[in-house]
Amino acid sequence: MKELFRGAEAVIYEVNEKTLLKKRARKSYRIKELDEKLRKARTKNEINLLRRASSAGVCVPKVSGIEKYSFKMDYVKGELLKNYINALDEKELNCLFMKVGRGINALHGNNIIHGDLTTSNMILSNGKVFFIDFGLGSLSCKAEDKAVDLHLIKQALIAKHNRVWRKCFETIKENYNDAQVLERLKSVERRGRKKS
Amino acid sequence: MIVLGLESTAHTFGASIMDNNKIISSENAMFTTEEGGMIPKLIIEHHLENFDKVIRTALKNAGKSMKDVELVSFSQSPGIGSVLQLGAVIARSLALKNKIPIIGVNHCVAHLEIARLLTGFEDPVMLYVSGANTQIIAFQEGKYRVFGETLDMGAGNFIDHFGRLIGLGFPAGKKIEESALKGKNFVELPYNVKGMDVNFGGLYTNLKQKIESKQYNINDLCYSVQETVFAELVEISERALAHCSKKELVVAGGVGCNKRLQEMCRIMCKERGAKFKPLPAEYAADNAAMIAWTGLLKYDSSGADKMEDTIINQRTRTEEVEVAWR
Repeated sequence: MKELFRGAEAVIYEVNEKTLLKKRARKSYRIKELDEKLRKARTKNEINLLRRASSAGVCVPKVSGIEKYSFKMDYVKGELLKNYINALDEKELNCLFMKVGRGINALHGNNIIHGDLTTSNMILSNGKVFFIDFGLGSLSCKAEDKAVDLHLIKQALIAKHNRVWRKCFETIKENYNDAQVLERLKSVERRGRKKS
Repeated sequence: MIVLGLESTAHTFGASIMDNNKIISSENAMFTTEEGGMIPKLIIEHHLENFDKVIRTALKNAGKSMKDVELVSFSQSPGIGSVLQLGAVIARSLALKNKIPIIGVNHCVAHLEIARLLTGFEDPVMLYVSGANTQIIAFQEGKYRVFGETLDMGAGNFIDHFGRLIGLGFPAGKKIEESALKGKNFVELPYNVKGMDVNFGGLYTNLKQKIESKQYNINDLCYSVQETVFAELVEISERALAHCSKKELVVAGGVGCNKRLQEMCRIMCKERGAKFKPLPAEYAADNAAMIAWTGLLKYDSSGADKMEDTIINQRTRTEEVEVAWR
């Protein structure tokens, strides 16, 4: 199997043209007890979230072939948003982030918290925005958790796409329906460390 | 060019002489206490008592006098207000009296710059873990940006709080590191990573309950705290390396002196084909050489500060700092 991508906690292998394998490799820097617990729990959790997102109509890779520390999924071919955004004009950005906002809205509407919303975890494929890597995700109906999730994408946009982040984030918010969460976001941001 | 750097943001008062990119001397005096942690009033007393001696020793060990100094650089932000103020007053006095230019630098950025100088890394990700600060910083689009950080307390602050629960003075890190070596059994603790951020509040409460229950061996708890907290820090460092596509990691800040944390960073980097170099303890912790060096970089690119621009700022964020030298 060809190694396609080595992320922070998992390695993605190409099984064939249509299928990928995501395997959480052992991290020798942490002790065995902690390592096994994290890998097992995260694998199980991620599969659960991917299935839920899929049945909620959000574009995510379809899961198959489940094992203790790994699972197989559809190979979504396209461009990572992080490599793509900085070259877009305002109109294209608007169109793209409308899709991102609707996706996040649908996830949160089904109480799925992604947990690592960055532009490295979204793929544009055939005009659709796919969400990948639910490894740090969770299920929650709390406005707090959803607001923190929105705060994560905002931070990621500021850090990675500083020139256009305002426009992108505004578009996400315009396509987000839960006013209670958006209100909560304000208090999450005030809580940030050392903000005046 | 001979630069005098002055560090005064928290527990350490430091003075250093650099001749361009060579550290000729670096001296410091550190506030410690058996109980109560860092109390600003006591730190000020400590620094007032020590600053003269520290600066004189730095000059003497470098074989220089104030007449040789061509630039005074001081820590202008962020930190404890009164402590920053003291450093600024000393720097301004020296600059005015000796008619030399003055320059103020950001303490967090200074940690990264001295790390780059000493490791020779071009463009590293920095895990910056001290008492007050726990941040993952990398250079992107013209500034040092924070990719992840603690959502509540700094890791060092947390470790000191935990130390206080088990009756250790300030700073507690070194003693906890020693106890951890005697710990054998891993106790499961809350593990809180959100993306590239961490938080320690829940872990603190959990530990408090465990200690009050008297069911746990203290050495085991020290061992488990280190394993859990450092695994979180290394995990977010690795995520930042992957996210920014960078290949070098440095660890700075007082907690960065911990041997176990360094070992974990080394293993992580080796497994993902990145490079890691630990810093000598005296330059990982707060020091004045980093202030001198960053002052020099800033001076070379944008000149000295006007006296009216030397006002301190307790809360400047890393990403607000203009980085004209890169």
